Amino acid sequence: MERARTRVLVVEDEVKVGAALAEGLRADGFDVDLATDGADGFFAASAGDYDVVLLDWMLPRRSGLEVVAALRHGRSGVPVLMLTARDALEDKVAGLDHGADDYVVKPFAIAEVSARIRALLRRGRPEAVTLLRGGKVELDRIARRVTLAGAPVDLTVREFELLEYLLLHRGHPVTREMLARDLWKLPRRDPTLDNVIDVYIARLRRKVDKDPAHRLLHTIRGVGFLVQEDAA
Amino acid sequence: MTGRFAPRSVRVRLTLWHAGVLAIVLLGYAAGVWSWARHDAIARIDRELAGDFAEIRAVVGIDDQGQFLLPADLEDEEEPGETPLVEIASAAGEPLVRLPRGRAGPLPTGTWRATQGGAVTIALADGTRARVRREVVELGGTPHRLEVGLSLALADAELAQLGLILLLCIPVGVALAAAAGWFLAGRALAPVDRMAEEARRITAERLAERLPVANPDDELGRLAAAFNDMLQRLDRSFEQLRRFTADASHELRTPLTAMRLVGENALRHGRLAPDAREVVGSMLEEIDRLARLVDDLLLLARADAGQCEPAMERCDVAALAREVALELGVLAEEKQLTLRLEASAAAPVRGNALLLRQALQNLVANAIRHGPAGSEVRVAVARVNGCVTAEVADRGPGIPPEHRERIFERFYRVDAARSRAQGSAGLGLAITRWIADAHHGAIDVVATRPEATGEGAGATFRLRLPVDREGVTP
Repeated sequence: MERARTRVLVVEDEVKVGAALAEGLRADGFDVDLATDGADGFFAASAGDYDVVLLDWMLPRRSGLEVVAALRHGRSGVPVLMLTARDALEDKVAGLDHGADDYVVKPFAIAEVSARIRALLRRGRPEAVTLLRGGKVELDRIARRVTLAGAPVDLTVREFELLEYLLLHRGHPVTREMLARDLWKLPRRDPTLDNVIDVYIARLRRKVDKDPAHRLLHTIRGVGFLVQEDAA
Repeated sequence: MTGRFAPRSVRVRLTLWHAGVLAIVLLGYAAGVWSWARHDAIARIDRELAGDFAEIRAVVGIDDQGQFLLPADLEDEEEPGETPLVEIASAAGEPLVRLPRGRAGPLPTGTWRATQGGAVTIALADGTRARVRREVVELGGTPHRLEVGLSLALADAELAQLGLILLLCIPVGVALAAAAGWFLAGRALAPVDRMAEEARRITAERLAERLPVANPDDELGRLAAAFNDMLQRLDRSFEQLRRFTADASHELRTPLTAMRLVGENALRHGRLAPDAREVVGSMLEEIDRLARLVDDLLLLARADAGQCEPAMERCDVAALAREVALELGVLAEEKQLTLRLEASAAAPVRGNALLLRQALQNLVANAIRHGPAGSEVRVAVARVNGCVTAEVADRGPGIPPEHRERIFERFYRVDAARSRAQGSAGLGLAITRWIADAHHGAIDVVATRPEATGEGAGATFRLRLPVDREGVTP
C-alpha cells in the first residue's frame, strides 16, 4: 500500500544546498523534511516514517557513514542515497558497504536525485513494462525492436539502450551524468563522453524523431535530455 | 651484498687508505728492523774482530831465523767465513804473510791507514766484504803493518735473507689488511646502506614511517635522527597539503552544488523567458565544467601529495583500446575519420582499468579532434621488449618539437585560442601523464611523419607501460 506522496528526509548541513534540493524535490512531487546534522538526521530517520533518506557524506556531529551504519545496525531498512564528493571513489564503496543503497556525486542535478529516488522506491520490483512508448515510437524490450509509427527502425545496440533509458525516464529529465554512469558504466562524464552522447542523441533524433512539429526528444540546456510528447 | 665495487664508494676508499697506510708503516718498520739487524751484526763482528786482533797481536812474532811465528789454529780452520784473514806487511807495504794460505788477492789496502782500534769495511776481490782492523805493530824490532779481517759474507747473506723475508711479508700483510679493511668497512657501512634502503622506501605515501635508530649517540644514529627530523617536517607539510586538498574540495563543491540546484530550480519553474532559460542553462553548463576542473585539479593535487594510490589489477591494454575505439568510433565517423585499430595480441599490464581507459580515451579523443577530416587515426597496441606500448597517431598539424615536452604540463597549450575553443581545459594530457607515471610507465610524443615539414606532420603519442608477466603462460 503506497502513500500518495513519497516522504523524503534530506540530511545536509549546507543550508542553501539543503533548501534548494528540498525545493526541487518538492517540485518533483516529494514530501521533503530537512535535517542539518548527523545526529538530528539519525534521530529523524529512526523516528520518522520516511521512504528515502538523502544523506550528505560530510556532516557535523555525526558523519553520513556513521548515520547509515547506525541505521542499519538498528535494523532500519529505509533506502539511503548518499550525497558524496567525487574525490573519494573509495568512500562511495565504503558508503555502500555500510548499507547505503546508492549515491550521487556533488554537484548533482535534482533530476538525477529524483531519478535515483524513484529507482530506490522501485527497488526489488522488476520493471514490469516490456513495451515502452513515446509519441509514435514503440520499443519492445524483450524482442529488442523499435518501431516508428509501426515501421521498424534499425538501431545500433547503443542507440537502442539510449532510447530505452530515455523512454524509461519518460517525463523526467535525464542528465549526462546519469547516462555516463548507467549506460556507459563510467564513474564520471567528461568532455569526450559528452561529445559521444551528443552524437548518439543526434542519430536517435534522425531515426525516431524526424517530425519537427511533434518533438519527442528534447534537450534541456544545462540539465540534459527529456522524452516528452510535445503538447502542440 | 651491501657494497658495490665502484671506485668511488666509501668502502673502496676506506680499504685503499687502510692498505696504503699499512704499507707505509710496514715499509718503515722493515727498514728499521733491517738496519738494526745490520748494525747489530757489524757490532758483533767488530767485537769478535777486536778479540781476534788482540789474540793474533799477542801471538805473532819473528823468531831467530826471521820466520814469522803464527798462531797454529789459524791455518786449519775449515769454515772460510769464520777464519780471520791476516796479513802482515812491511812498513813499506810489501806483503810478507797472508793467511789463510792460498787466499786469492790481498786485502785491498787503498791508502793504508791504521784504524786506531776501530774497523772499516772493505770489498774483497771475490765480491764479498770484510771488516778489517789495521795497526802498525813492532815485530822483531821493526814496525810492520798488521791487518786482521773478518768476512762479512755470512752476515751479508743473513741480512739479505732478512731483507727478503721482510719485503715478502709486506705485500702479504698489506693484502691481509686490505681484506680485513674491506670487511670492516663493509660492516661499518652496512647500516648506512640499510638506512639508504629504508629511506628510499619512505615515499610520499608513507611519510609517517621513520628510520630505525639503533644507537642515538653514534654517527649513524645522529644521521638517522637528522633524517627523521626532516621526514617529520616533510610529513607535516604534506599533511597540511592533504588537509588543504580535502577542505578545498569540500569548500569548492558546496557552492557549486548550491548554484547548480538553484539554477535547475529556476529552469524547472517554467516561469523564465526563453532567453533567460538560455542564460541559466549556459551557466549550468559552466558550473559542470568548473566542477570537472575542480575534480581534475584535486586529482592532480592528491596525486602530487602521493594520496592517489589507484587499485591495481591485471588488465589488458589491447582490450581497453578496443573498448575506447568502439566508444569513440562515432566521433571519428562524424568527422569522416578512419579509426584504425591494431590491437590483436593481448597486452597485459598491472594497472587500474578505469585510469588506463581514461588515458587512452584522452589520447584518442585528442587525435580525433586534431586529425583533419578524411584522414586516419591509428591506434596500435603491441608488446615490445617487456613493454606494452600504445601508440595513437593522427595526421593533424602535429606538435612543434619545442612544445613536445611541455605539452604534458598543466594548462599548457600549443595554440591557446584553438584548444580552448574546442573545449579542452588543458588538463587532459597532464592527467594522462600522471596515469602513465602511476603505472610506472612513460608517455611522449613524436611526429607521425617526421619528413613532412610544417603542417601535416601529425602527432603520435606513445604510452609505454611495463608488461605484467605474472600469470603469463609461456
